[in-house]
Amino acid sequence: MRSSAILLAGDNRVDAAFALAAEAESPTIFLMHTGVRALADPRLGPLVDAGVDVIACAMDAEAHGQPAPGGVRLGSQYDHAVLARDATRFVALTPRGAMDFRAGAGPRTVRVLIGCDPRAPEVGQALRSAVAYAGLGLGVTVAVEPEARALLEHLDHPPAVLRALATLRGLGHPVTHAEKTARAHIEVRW
Amino acid sequence: VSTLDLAGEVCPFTFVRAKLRLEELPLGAQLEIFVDHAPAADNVPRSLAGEGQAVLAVERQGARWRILVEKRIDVPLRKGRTMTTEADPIPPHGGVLVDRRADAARAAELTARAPGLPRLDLHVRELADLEMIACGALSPLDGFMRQADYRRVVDEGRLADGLPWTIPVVLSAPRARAADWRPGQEVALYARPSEGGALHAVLEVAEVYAPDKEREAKNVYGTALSDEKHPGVAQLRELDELYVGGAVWLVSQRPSLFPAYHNEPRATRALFRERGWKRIAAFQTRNPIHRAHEYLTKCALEIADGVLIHPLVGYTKDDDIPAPVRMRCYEALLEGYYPRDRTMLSTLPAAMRYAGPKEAIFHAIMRKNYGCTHFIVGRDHAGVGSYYGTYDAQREFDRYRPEELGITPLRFENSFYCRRCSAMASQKTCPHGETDRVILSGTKVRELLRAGEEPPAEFSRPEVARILIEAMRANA
Repeated sequence: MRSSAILLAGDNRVDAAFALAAEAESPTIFLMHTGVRALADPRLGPLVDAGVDVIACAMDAEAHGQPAPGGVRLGSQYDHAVLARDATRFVALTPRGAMDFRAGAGPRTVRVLIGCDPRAPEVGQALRSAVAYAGLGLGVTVAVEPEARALLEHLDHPPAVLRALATLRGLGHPVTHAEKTARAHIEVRW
Repeated sequence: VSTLDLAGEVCPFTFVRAKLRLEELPLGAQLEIFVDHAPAADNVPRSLAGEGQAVLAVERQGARWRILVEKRIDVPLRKGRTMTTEADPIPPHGGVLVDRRADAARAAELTARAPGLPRLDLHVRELADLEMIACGALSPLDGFMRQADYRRVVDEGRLADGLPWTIPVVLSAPRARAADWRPGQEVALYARPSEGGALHAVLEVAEVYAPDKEREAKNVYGTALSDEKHPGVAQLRELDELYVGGAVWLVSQRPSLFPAYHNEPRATRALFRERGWKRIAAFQTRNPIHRAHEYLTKCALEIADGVLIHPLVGYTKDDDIPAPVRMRCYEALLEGYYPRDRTMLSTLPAAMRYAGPKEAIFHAIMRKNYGCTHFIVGRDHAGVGSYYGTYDAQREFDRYRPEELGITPLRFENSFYCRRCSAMASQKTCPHGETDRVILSGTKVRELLRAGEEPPAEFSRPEVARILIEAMRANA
């Protein structure tokens, strides 16, 4: 298992992700959401050549029309969740935040913080990744910040959002107001 | 080979659904998964293999891929729920055994937060129900009933999704406190000060609603809410004006009065597996076991691998014999008269409702969750006074298709010792008249015991009678 994992989920974080990848030991970068635009970045090839493991969410790459260059693997949210479960360092670079965690051994928890309008595409991505963490048996809490509280107040959301929420609740993972939640081993802010 | 068609499904639901489906299958079972998205044909088998399952084949079939997997390991995804194993003779009601006991980390977090939450003190019945929910005895309930479940249970004897269920499992709250509680809000549930006042659980409010207690009394208990003689209805009147539905997490549990006999559904299921019992008959009782009931349980034992003597030790009405006395009677009886390797004594810490036929179904469902395949229903099950007909409880089972309930009722008629038969018998098996039968009313038995006299050995085992006499003397 690579010791460092970098989640690149926003095209505004590409520079930070690449800088981190260049300095970290045996890093893996997982690209999703608008982060898949990094697939077209000319700086990616040299990183791959230098031994950086790069995995891109196949669905998001397809949605953004980004083919995978040589050396880049098209993967899934499963790969993302495996990184969250196993990496000793996990850096989450999302459109709204950069969070860096170093975790010890043992079962991990993840708090997915949602602070944007429930209609924003980031919410669907946040919940999709939360379902993937849950799918790998991590303890997941979806923490809804005040800006996103409509997520808890009514059911008028896109079907994919409703489905993800129902899945998480059905699997026993809390989806609740952020102030009711506690810090987790890994935090991802969307 | 089971099949799961994931055509049109997107990541991560592809691998999550595959894992959930595998969760339902026994070890060694094969699952055939179809996907129609090239990345899924790679990612699904990789994710399953990564979990320890055996991927036997991945093959393209036109526009889709077939993935064949063999289940090699249990990897439960549903937090707070436990799948039963392939060796369990009967699945829990609704398919999953609920577990709402908070683990240490969650309990610590909830306990720390509880002082800042609205407080609700539980009625003794609610406290018992809470513990029964948490351990899975009331599966599939994960908390106190929401309105849709409550209404349909009262009107039709079913949960909102159609699953048979006959007794409301509800939490009440005073209007002055609960009227402004909103969905998502948490409420800390405490025992009443007279019961120790400890924090027991946190409930996440799903809804607050006004019950129809008059209708509940009529449909569930068969009498009016104003009826002052019915103990179950008396409790109903004691409940507050509003009901609060929502899932619970149990933070702390009351210590059992009978720890050596306290086995929750997971434990009884495990014990049945260890003993290799496939057919298990449960016997519900809130009374000492006299010869008639001994006869029923032994008839059941003739067709079952084992019998679970499952006395209810939660709330019972004041004139019922206290649980500690009854437990000594059961111990004495089992010690002297039952095969040890085919009998199990275990307690049911539920509260009695005295709802007769409705409660008979409720009792059967609970025993199904404890892993029993058969349930003994004698005369006037869970009855009180003359509210219900002698065999109404048995007929209540006819309202449901056998496969809906899952657990099989064993219907028994009134039994007795017949001097001419020189055996225990029932009206089904004995052609002789009343004068040949040893039948004593409950009143007569109590008179004898109070006078220090043992009832005839054909009615009650001497060991049991002596314990009851001693208890009555001590009480006097």
